[in-house]
Amino acid sequence: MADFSHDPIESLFHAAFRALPDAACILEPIGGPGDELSDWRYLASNPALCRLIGIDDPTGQRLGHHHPEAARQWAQDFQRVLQRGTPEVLVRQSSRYPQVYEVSLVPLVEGGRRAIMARIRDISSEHFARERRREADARYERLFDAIDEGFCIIEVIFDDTGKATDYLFIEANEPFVQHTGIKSPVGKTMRSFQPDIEDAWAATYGRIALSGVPERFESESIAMGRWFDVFAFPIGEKAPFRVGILFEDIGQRKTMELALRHSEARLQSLIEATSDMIFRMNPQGTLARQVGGKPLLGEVGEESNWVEEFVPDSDRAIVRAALDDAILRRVPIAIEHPVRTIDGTVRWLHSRAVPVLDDQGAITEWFGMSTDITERRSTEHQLIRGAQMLRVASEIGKVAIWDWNVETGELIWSDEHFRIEGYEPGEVVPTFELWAERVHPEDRAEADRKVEQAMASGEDYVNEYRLIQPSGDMRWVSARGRFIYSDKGEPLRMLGAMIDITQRRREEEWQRLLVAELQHRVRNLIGMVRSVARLSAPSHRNVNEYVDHLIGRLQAMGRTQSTLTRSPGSSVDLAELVREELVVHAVQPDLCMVDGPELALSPHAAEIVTLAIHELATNSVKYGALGDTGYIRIMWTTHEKDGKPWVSLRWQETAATPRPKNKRKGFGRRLIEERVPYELGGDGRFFLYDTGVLVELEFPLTSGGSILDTRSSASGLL
Amino acid sequence: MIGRTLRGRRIVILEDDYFQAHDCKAMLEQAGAVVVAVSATIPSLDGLLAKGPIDAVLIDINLGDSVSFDFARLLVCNAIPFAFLTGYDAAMLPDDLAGRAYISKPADHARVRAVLAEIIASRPG
Repeated sequence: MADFSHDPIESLFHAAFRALPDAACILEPIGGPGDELSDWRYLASNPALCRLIGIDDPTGQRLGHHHPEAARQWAQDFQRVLQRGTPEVLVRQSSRYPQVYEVSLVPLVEGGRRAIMARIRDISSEHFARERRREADARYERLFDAIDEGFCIIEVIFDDTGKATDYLFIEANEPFVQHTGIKSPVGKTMRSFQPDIEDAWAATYGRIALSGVPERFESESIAMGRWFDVFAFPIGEKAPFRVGILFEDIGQRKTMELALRHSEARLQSLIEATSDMIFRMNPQGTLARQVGGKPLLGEVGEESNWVEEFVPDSDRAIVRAALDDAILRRVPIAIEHPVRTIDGTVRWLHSRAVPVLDDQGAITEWFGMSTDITERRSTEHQLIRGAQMLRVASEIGKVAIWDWNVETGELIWSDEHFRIEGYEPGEVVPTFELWAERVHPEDRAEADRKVEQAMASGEDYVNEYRLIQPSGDMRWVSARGRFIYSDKGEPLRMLGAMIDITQRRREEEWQRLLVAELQHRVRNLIGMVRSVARLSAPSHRNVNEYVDHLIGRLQAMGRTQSTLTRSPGSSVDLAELVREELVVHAVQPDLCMVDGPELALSPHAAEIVTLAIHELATNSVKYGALGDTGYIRIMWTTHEKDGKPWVSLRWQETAATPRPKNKRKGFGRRLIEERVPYELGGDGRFFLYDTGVLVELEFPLTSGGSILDTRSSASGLL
Repeated sequence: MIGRTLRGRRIVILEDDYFQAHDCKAMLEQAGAVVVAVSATIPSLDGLLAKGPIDAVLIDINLGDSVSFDFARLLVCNAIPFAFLTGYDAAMLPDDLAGRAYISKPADHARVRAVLAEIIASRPG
């Protein structure tokens, strides 16, 4: 202290210096200007310094004397401050103690003498408190950044009238950006980002800032295009408080909520508008309640045992069983059943219900809907009945039906169609090609042409053709079909029916042959009559006699025809023929003897034999035995000749008195001697004796058809 | 003129009805023709030709149990003119013989003679 003069002011400063609560000292560098600094010397120190560093008054001593290592450390700082000429405040950790010091270094220049005043304050407690606070802050910051919600602290800005107009962001966490879209908000006001932000926001935060009462709310910012869920609370000791805002952008959730609400509304509308009945039912399936839609059962009140009350007796057991099964297996049920509604009418419902299960899988209730299917069922029944009628009709009528889908080529045949084509029903897959293959090759082109024509013209397809079954059998069929067209006129389907007309065709054919045969026979007969008439003429000069003969012969021919038509078999009994002819000529039974085995003659042979007997009887009545008291024997036998059966017939007259001979070769004799050999391939002999005529006819027996059995000859003709 | 045409012509008659055959034969002979054969069944053509040439044949379609078409075809092959004389319609003729001379029964004599004269006159070669 001796270096300082002892004037009163100085002494006062000195006293003040010594009284400073903080440790203080003044040091000057050792060595003159330009010398290398080696150390610093205490020019002054106060008691606080001595206490702080635990030494006696160091004035006059070198810094390095007590603390050489501290001297080196401090020397740099002192020198820097001295050179720069500006004070510095440094914070230094003690090298030996856990203390932290605040060191204020002030350069002093007084009359060319330079020094440093150092004031040292122990700020350990402050320092550690700040450290702790900083750590806490960092933790909060990490916490705020870690949460998903946006967080910020604001200071509300009020105008002169006390109205909150804006707010300043003091702090904001990372998610803040993502929830608001605002980047780097700290230090800026809300309106600097969003000038048109609704006034309500600042007003709300202003209210909180003033009242200190936290608020929780959901609000939409149309300006920001976002929905927020907000918790805002006051921060600080007194009003106006800062406001902490914890918030979340709930736009997506809000959109979903709205969508859900719309969806529910729509569902409700649907339930109200539907023509189905929506119902709930207890787990046992006994009590049901209409909850929406159309009350298909009528106004039935709160709850009802619908199976018991509305399902008719006839179906109750089935419905109950189906329901019990679904309950047991806990599976959805879908059944069609009749109900008797409140007004007594019976309607058909299609009911579906699903079980609502709890966590344990037990049924808590059933939820379902019923559709009125009365009309549909009625239509179905009509269709089924119609189809049944068609099937029965087509089966009874043996009508084959086809349905050809022109577009896809699919062809459907009825059972009868398969049968007519020669297949078992379902044996083959019908196709157009298969049908075409079965058509008789000669009728194929015409059938194709008619199908094409019908398709092009829209007129009915009408065709009669032959088809060949796989077995080779030929059938005649009559088919009619019709094409169905689209709106654009394209052929879509061809429906048609076909019947087997083979039998009809055969009968027509047979009829045609019969007519032809009849014509032939009639013409032949007329030709024969003409010939007979002509041949009869020369022997009669008397016209009346000629007519008698001719009529007799024609009647005999007529008898043959009537005999043939009377017995539709293929032959005529010889005995019957002979007896009839004798009866016609009034031959008394006691005047004749007819004897021979039962024998059938062909129509041709019968005709000739009839005429022969006629001629012989006529002659005999006129000239021979029958004109007298004579006797006639007609006998026949059969024998074999060249492997064929032959008949040998004999006509023998025995006259009581000799008769005049008629030597002329008349019609009868020519018949016997010439026609028998000519037409029957046999032999005819005519002998004229005094006692009467002896005729012997021999011819082979051939079977031949009657006029009603000309099929063989007629079909052979074709 | 017609009579002169048939004069000396050698004709065969196939007719299974004796009276008609006889009647026809008498008529043709009256017209000056030579009836070479009258048969109720189908004869052997070679056998007939062995006796001499044949100018024309009259054929009934239905000869008892058999049909004469094959014989007619044989005549075609031998270029011998023929005419069907039958109670059947001309429509009954098979396709290959349709259009051949045809006389429907009952036919009058003049018609038979005219047809025969015509087919003999238009005989090929």
